[in-house]
Amino acid sequence: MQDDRELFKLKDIIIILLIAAVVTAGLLVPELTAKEAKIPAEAVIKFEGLLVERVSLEKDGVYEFYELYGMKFTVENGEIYVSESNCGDMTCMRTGKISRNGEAIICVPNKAAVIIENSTDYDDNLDVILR
Amino acid sequence: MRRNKILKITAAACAALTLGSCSLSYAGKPHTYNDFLFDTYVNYTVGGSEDVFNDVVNGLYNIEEDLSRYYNDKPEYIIRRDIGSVCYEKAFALNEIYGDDINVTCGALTDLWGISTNYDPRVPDDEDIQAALDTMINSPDEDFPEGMELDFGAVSKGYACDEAFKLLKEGGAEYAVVDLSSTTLLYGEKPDGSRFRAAVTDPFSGVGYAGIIETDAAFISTSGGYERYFEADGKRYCHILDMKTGRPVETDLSSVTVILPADAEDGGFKSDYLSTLIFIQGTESLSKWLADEDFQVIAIDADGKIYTDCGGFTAEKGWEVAYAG
Repeated sequence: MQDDRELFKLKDIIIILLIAAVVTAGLLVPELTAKEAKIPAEAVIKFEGLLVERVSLEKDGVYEFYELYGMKFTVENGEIYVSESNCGDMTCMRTGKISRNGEAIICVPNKAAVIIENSTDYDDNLDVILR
Repeated sequence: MRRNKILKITAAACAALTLGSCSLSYAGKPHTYNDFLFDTYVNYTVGGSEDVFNDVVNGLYNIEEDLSRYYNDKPEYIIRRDIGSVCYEKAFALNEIYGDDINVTCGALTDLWGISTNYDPRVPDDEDIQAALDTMINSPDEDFPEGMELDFGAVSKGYACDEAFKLLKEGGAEYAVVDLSSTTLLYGEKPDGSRFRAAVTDPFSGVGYAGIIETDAAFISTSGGYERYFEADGKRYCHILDMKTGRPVETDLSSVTVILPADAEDGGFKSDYLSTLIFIQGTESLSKWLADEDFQVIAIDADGKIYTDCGGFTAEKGWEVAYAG
């Protein structure tokens, strides 16, 4: 029998370190892989600050909200734009096509926002776009 | 002995788990919020407690409500409120230093043109323009003329960013981006220690960027005529009005960005006010503003040439920097 008064023995410490390493690795791995996985570029369509649809920019399509919100969006060649709007002020349609991360089309009268997310092609790592 | 060991290992595992999760969640997930306020799209990101986040959301909502004149409030009511009177006095105090290009009593003129409020803006008659100009005052001590309306459009977002700064500081937030479209507060330090990155929109197309600013905590404002305007008889009228002629400004600048450090007193208010002012005054006065050491300027002229004294600014490919101080 060895002396039992010592709180931690060498063997214990090794085991403890091993467990700590495994636990930390277990926590880190999903965190790291999540960043590397390629997520397709999307546009988030919001009305009055609420998300109504996530739209993939990978394939062309038309997204209509005309009856509810008076707006229509078109995805073409990886870009999205407002193709119809009843707002009358037309700033949203004039904004044109967007595809870069963080870029947005805003329609103030309709309280609508289209924002690009996850675009890895043009990730400028921006905190804010001044307009 | 055996039991002892199992206990020890369990304790160590718990400790490791706690340590591990602590080190990963140190930054936490920042709180985010977006809405339509100040007649634009706003977007807040706050790295800090839920309380300070809520304070910012509610605080800015109250400011917008107090300064808004769309509740048919008469000027005398608006300036009787705390926020209204503070903005009114601060704006006139800046006029003492910088002149009369910004006037918060121009509400009647703004309404007459209706460029950012009316669905069908048109060019008004000269008589109506003169009548609207007559409702304005140039000093806070003057009596309010009949029909005077307040319009805090040139300063309200800047004021809101100043108040957001105070709330974030009081609430002990780590970092925040308070994005009010044309005026932004970049607060604190990002969790990864990197500097903030802000893009200046291409004023000609309205999409894409003319360049990117790398900066520490700061107030940044951009003014330009490219987003809100209307066309009549082949002429483009921008939403920023000239207080002398009563007509949309005819400036030879297409976009002006002003940056003040986050510790500057009334930094948001000043950046908002000055970006509009410099935009109105055009290239003629630009050298004076570029030489001013209280703030940094990025100005883009009608030909797309960039004039700046901002060391953290990098122009995108294809943009010509004519002056870099």
